[in-house]
Amino acid sequence: MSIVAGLLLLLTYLLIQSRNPDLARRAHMQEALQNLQLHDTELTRDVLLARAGLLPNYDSLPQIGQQLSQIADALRAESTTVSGAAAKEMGKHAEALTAALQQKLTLVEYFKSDNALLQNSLRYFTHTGQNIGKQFKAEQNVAAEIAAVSHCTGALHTHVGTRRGQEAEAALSRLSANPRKQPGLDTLIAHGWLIVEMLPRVDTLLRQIIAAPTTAHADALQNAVLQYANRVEARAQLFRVLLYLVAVILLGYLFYQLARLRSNARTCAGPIPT
Amino acid sequence: MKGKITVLALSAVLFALSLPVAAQQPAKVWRIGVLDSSSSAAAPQEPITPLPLSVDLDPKRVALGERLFNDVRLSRDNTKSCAACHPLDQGGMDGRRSATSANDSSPARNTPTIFNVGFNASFNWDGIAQTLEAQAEIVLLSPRLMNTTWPELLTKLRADADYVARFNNAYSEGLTRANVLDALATFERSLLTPNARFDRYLRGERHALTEAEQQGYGLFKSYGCVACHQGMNIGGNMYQKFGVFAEARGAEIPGAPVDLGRYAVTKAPRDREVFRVPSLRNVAATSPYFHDGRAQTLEDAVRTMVRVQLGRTLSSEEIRLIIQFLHTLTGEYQGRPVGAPGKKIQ
Repeated sequence: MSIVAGLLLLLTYLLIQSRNPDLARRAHMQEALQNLQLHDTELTRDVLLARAGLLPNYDSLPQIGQQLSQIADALRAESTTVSGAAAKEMGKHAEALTAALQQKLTLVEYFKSDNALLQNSLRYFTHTGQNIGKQFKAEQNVAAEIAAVSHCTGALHTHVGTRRGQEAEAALSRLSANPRKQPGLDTLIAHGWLIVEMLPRVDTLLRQIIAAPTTAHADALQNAVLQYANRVEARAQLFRVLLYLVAVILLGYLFYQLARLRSNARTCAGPIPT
Repeated sequence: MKGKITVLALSAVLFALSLPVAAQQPAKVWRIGVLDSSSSAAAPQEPITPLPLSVDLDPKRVALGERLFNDVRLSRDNTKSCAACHPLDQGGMDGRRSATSANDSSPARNTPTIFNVGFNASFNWDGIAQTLEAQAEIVLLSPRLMNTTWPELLTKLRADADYVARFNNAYSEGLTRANVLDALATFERSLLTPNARFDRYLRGERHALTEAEQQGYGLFKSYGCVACHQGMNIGGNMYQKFGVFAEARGAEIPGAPVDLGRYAVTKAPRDREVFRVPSLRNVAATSPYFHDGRAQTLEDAVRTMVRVQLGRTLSSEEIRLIIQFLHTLTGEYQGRPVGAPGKKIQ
């Protein structure tokens, strides 16, 4: 009987070891990573929409940022619950992902501030700049400079480059040097300078946001999670095989005991020797 | 017989242990989202969206937070509650140029309104806090504001049997630091002021605004105020330099240190004199204006904004129309319009 009890205890131990408690953790982390990449894509999409002047307001950006931060915090917390060397590996990637995300969100914050000013000035040029040009119909040279500034800022908007920027700066300088001062003209010049300054800055921010290594770090974390999960699964599989073997031994032992029992019963049922 | 019982017992244990293996499922399923299109194609094209008529919050936590909000025991010397600086019958702010307890060397700042604060992306003029809970903790522990400590505050609250019972009722962990902050933040999230005439206009009630107010909204958009004051809270979701087109300095409290704004938080050179763009909800009931409370009237504020942020000069008529529009942003709290005539404490 002690052998059966011992085998049952062994079975219990093997059963516990063959379970994969990290299956749920892996599922959490993979789903979190999937959500993170989805929101990251949303963030980039909305930044691009904002740059194009197609995002009605900026509410979505901090909302997505908050969701991303929450997921990154959850991933970091989850990675600390893993045991052994895997914890270090996953923790390292989770930290790197959080840092990259924070850096990206900081860039998005700067982008919002600069893009708001840029869009405002671009809108000013589109809607008001032309009307100001009409006020200077009598002064051909001023009207021509206003047209040149409008052309250069428009060209700068669509074809960002040093040469376009320099052309716009030169046109603005010529216009600024004009002795004719009028509130409308001053405003036009001020918005022109803002576009010249802000447009390359906004596009640099945009490129930095798109190039932020969040996806690379998310992939690295995902790989670390998968490798860890595979190791845990392989170990659990080994214990499942052992569990099967011990179960077979237990069954064999029980059959052996049954055979012995029958043999003894037959012996007991036979004639009693005199 | 005894052996059989042992074997049966072990078998039962074995069976019980095998159950979780069969039922192994993620304990908590994280939502797998789909790409949200609400901010792009499907969204309405107005840059401002109306406030929701209500928010889904736990009423027990809201009630608990309300009690804490009005409790002077949250301050070390038992003299000040959150409501002292954010009176809800006075626009959710104290109406003073700067906070009453500004007695240290840091710049004195105007108290922002607490209404609709749940829709802001960050808090305080420099965005030092990213969550309402963090903001509440800063205020509680600040030596110039509530000046308390957690051990002191929790001891005071635990001495009150009613608080203990309410916290136990609202939270499984009872009265803890995290739950005090959560209750305060939950109450603050409940401080909505819906039904502003402008919100009704956005919801399709075209006659909710007069012709002049609609013109004012048109000017607000076309002159670029809406570049920063947009979204559900008409601001509160970005930072901006104060003084884009012209120097904004010169109207501070005489002798006061220069307020470097967000630079104090980030230490990034580009954040010098950058401040959180405030919400314009209930703006007509929340004077004075700006981080240093320099503008006493809406007209002062609009003129300053137009000059230093937009680089323009508007006619008095245009300013009057914009102010008329700003008055339509006043919502209701507990069925009454926010603010009341003659409320200001100067």
